[in-house]
Amino acid sequence: MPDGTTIDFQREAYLEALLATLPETIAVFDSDLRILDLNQAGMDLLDISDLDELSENPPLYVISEKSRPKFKEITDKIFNGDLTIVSDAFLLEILPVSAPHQLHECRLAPLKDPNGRIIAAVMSGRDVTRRYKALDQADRTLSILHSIQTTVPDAMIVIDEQGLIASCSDTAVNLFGYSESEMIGKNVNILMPSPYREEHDGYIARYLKSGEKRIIGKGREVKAKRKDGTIFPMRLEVGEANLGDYRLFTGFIHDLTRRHKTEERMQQMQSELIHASRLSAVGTLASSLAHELNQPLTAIANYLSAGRDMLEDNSPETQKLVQQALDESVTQSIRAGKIVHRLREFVSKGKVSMEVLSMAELVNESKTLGLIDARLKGVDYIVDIHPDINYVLADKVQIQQVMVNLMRNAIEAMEDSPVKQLTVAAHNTKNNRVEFIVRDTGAGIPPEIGTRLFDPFATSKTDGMGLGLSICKKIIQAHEGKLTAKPAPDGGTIFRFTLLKAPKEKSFAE
Amino acid sequence: MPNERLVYIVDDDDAVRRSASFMLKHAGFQTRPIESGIEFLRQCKGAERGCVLLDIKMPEMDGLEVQQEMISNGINMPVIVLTGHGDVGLAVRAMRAGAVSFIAKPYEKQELIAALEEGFERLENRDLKEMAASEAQVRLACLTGRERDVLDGLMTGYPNKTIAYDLGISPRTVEIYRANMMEKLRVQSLAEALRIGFAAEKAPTIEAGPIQAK
Repeated sequence: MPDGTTIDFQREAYLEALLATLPETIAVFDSDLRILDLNQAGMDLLDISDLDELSENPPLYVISEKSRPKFKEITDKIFNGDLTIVSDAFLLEILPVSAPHQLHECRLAPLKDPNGRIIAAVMSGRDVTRRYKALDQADRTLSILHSIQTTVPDAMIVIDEQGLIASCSDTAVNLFGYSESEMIGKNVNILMPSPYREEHDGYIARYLKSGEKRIIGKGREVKAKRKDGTIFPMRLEVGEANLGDYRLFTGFIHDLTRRHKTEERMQQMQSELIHASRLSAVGTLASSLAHELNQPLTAIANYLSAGRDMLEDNSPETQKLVQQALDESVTQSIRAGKIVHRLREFVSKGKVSMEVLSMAELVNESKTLGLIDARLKGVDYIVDIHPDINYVLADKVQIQQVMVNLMRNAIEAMEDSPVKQLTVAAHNTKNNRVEFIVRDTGAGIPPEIGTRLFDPFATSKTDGMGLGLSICKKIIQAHEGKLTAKPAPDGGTIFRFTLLKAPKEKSFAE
Repeated sequence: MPNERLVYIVDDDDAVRRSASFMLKHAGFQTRPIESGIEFLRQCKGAERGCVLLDIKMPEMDGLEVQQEMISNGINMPVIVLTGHGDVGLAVRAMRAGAVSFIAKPYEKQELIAALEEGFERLENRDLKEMAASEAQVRLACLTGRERDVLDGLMTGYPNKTIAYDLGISPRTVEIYRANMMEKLRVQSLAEALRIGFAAEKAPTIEAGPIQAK
């Protein structure tokens, strides 16, 4: 082993080399903070190559005003002997002479003479500017994220690739009724009703495997389940964050309960309005209906009263006549029954149900009510249904309401016309539709009504509410069709609407 | 059957025409169903006289118009008007124009036969109406003021409710007055009561004494 002197020398040289190559700044200073020794990294900060070049010593200007009290506090402790060993790391803002400011993580330790007297302090400083900048940014991002999580109006839930909840917003807590701790780490499928609950893991797995996006970036209306078991409609938008080797998925959840309720209420009001309009249409038909029912009833009474008085005569000829009278009565009963049946159907408050219906039947049935008093009012009518007419997809009651309405309007429009010719027609059109046409020879649409024809409360009738046509238009629109009116070439008006053609379903036929 | 009595059945409804014809044939009448007022007016000139069952609600020309045409063409056949529900006003107008009676559809066979019997009585004895004129006033004389008011209302074609409103009494009370009035006039139907009322109006100048209603 070498002797002491040799070792001392070698140690000094080694230290010298070490200090020169260290990226950290090492400074030795006395109690007046005057620098006694400084390594290369320190020299670089001060932009000097020798301590003699210092314009002032101590060069306190290299420490920012803000950091100086902290520096003073620690050095005081060192020279007062309060810190006998190395200090905790502390941050100083350093203002290098020819470089932008830096943040240094520093440590101080006392340097004692052989008698134990503190003669100097050693300080190390490491440039940590970069690390702190990154940390600071992360901090800021985090606090932005936090503020989003607490204030985002829609519920927000972040899950990992296993479907486990990584984070959730306050609104999600409120919406689902679980506390945050009840949600974090749980599979997000606890927020879903069956069958999605069971299938969700499969959805994620499929996506991770195939990369085929079914909901990400698209959004969809789905059902969700609260802690108390209630199920509600929601709109779900999913975003994806790629974090190197794994992914996070963020779901934004917008509760649709309220919107659905409003829509439902609107629909209900609409259907009530449509029904009310049917009732009012029947009201205006009342006297014609009574007349039309009285005719078969009169015939039945005639036949039956004659038949009753003929029963006493047993002769085969008379019996035959009685039978004939009864047969005729049955026919007339059925005639009356048909009218009552149409009427009952018409005023029924049935749910809207789309069915495959025979257009020919729809028109034929509608004319029972629609043309009930046409002849009495002197109206000559033709009903022209093309023999090859297609089936349609429609709500029976509502479409018949429109047909009846248009026929009634046409008859009314011709009240004072010299020529009263009504044409009702139905035929197929190109582009897979079926068209229904009502054409009258009335006075036409009054110019003051003009384009407001289909607006609610636009009417030329003295006793009308002006709701009929606006409701008709709504009904046809709901059937993805179009209701139009235009003047007929030789006077009068042509109303037409279209319906979607449906495939014929033989199974529906009786 | 000798001297068969002829009934013209004027109605636009085929079933009504055929059934009425069936029933009346069996009851001993000869029938001639005709589907419109215009057609009847065309056929009846110089045709065999009979009673006319005339539907009031028909297209083109309604029963009242047909009746007016008959009067202006001098076709003097007794008319029985057939009405629907709520056509009392029209029926009263027909009565005023000289119809024998009116019957609401649907009707009892007896009701129709009774009206026809009256019609044929008038057909056979054309003075019946004139005779009734002076007699009518005598018969009306036994009515109280209120009973007369109710009859006047009915003769105007008002329903019970309207008469009650106009007189400031309840419809139920009107019904009672109406029943009393019919009993005192010894009539079975409103049509008969109206006929007496209209006949009295036609009386020339005879002072009627206590019949003032007001």
